[in-house]
Amino acid sequence: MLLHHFLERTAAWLPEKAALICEHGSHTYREVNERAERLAAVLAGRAVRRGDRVAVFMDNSAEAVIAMYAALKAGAVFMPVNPLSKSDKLAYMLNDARAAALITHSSLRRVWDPALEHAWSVHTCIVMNEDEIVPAAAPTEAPIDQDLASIIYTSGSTGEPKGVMLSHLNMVSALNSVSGYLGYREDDVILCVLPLAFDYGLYQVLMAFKAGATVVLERNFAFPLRILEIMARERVTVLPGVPTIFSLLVNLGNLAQYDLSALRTVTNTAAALSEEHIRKLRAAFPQATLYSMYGLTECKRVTYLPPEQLDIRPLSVGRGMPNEELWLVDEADRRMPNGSTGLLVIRGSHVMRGYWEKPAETAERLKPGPLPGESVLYSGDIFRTDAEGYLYFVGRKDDIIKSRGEKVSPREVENALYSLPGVLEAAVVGVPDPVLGEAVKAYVALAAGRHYSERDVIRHCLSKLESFMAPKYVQFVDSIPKTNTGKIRKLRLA
Amino acid sequence: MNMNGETLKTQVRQYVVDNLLMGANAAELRDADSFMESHVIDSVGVLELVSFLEKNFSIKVEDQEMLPENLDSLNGIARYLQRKLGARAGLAARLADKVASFGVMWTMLADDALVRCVAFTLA
Repeated sequence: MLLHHFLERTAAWLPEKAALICEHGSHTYREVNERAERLAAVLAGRAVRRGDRVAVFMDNSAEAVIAMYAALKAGAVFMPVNPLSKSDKLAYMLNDARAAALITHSSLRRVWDPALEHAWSVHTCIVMNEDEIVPAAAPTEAPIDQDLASIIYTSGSTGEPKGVMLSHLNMVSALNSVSGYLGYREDDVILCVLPLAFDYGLYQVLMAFKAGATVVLERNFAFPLRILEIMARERVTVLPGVPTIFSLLVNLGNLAQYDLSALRTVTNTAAALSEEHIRKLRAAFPQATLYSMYGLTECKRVTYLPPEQLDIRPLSVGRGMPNEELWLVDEADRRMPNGSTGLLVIRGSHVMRGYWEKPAETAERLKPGPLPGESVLYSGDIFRTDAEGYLYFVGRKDDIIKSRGEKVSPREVENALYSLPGVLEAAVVGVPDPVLGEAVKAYVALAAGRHYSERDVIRHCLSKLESFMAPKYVQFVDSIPKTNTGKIRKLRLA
Repeated sequence: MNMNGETLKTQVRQYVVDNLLMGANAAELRDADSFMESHVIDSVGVLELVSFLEKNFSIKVEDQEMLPENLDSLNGIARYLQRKLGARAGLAARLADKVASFGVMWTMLADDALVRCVAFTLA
């Protein structure tokens, strides 16, 4: 089974059912499938071939979903790019993946136009709301499930984003396991406010299209009341989110004014919910079951806590999902019994094929598994287990910051800071924040005679980085504490 | 505080350009443009914008006012602020009548903090 076969199957089974409900109307399964088919024929006509990378740089919209399925139908590999990305980063990703095509919107022109000037590999750019979609040639060479379906970029501790390579088999395995334990059904109405470039946003569509459910696709959670109105109007049954969204939601004074009685499932990922948020969420939606989960782009999902365990161990992220094996190892790579603390290792057909053209980084994460030729994933996260084997997140082995549920590489932010004239030293750390989880804080030492305000520095970062990466706080210091070997001592800063 | 829509827009535009505009060209920001659609502001930017409006105009943006029609464009914000500030001016006038009848000098009511304080007492 290939990833796009779920759409094709559902389009044949439930052609007139709403697949997507967006700002400007709803779209049936037949329409989504046919438009993806036509766009695939445009790509094929422009010489996009099996295995070629197709970047999809768009806000959450029906067109973004159609573009991803079109790439798959053309035998290509789709690369969802966060619409908050700036030109430099988009150009980096297009070049790193040597993308053949870019599919985008005109509202993002000021970002992609300059990026394309530096992206020599991109021979085709399709602007969905401007270009006429005229099918030119049917795709010829069909992929198999060992072929890549997607490359999703993720922040790395080196500061250079890494492309996570996921085959059709990887993604189909993950979506089968996750939609299996969440029990997505044909009558579900799933609200997706998470960006499609974030894997849990993307999987809402993939899983819904398997079940024949409807996805209500929203750009973001900027106006929570509007989202609540939509939830009530569309009788939303599933609300997937991250702690920042739930924190904004449960603190709204007038939540009770909205009829959200259709909601049956609330799922949280990206970072743990606090006990207070769990309590408030359950009070706000007493009829809904709440799933705490943990995952990483490199394999999509790792654990979920069965809802009946929430009262027994509220802070656990749970245990492995179906068709997956997990264990902890110590520094010498020995398996550890329940009740230990160690590095989490993941085995299953959902584990990525590696980082695109980054063999050294791949070798750190993918190591030989129990069977010849098999790889298992070293998550880089430290967990402890209780006596029954339930997992509790302890910390990360690297210094990646989690803000708003997004990964922020301190190195990437520091690189942006160093591009500001007069910055001599910069160090970036995460500090606790009640809404964001962690807020990004920068320490900056300036050259003599150079003066910037905190806002100047933040504004500079906003012009280079996705907004969630820009520092919330900037502290100016004379110099940054260092070790004997000259390495910046971050523990002293946070 | 008595300001027309253009003055309000200029103040808010300046704030957006100085603080939130994410790499976009300031000249391209038209009064009617949706901040979200033109990628001028994202969801965290909205929270920052709200705290700016609260501080700068001494208002409280209520949960039920956090709507795109109030906060997603310069025009929307100007209309919203005029409504909020207008309501407060009406309150100040009511108050001035009461105070004047006690023969107290009421010019000091121009002070926003005092207006808010008395508004609270009246409410």
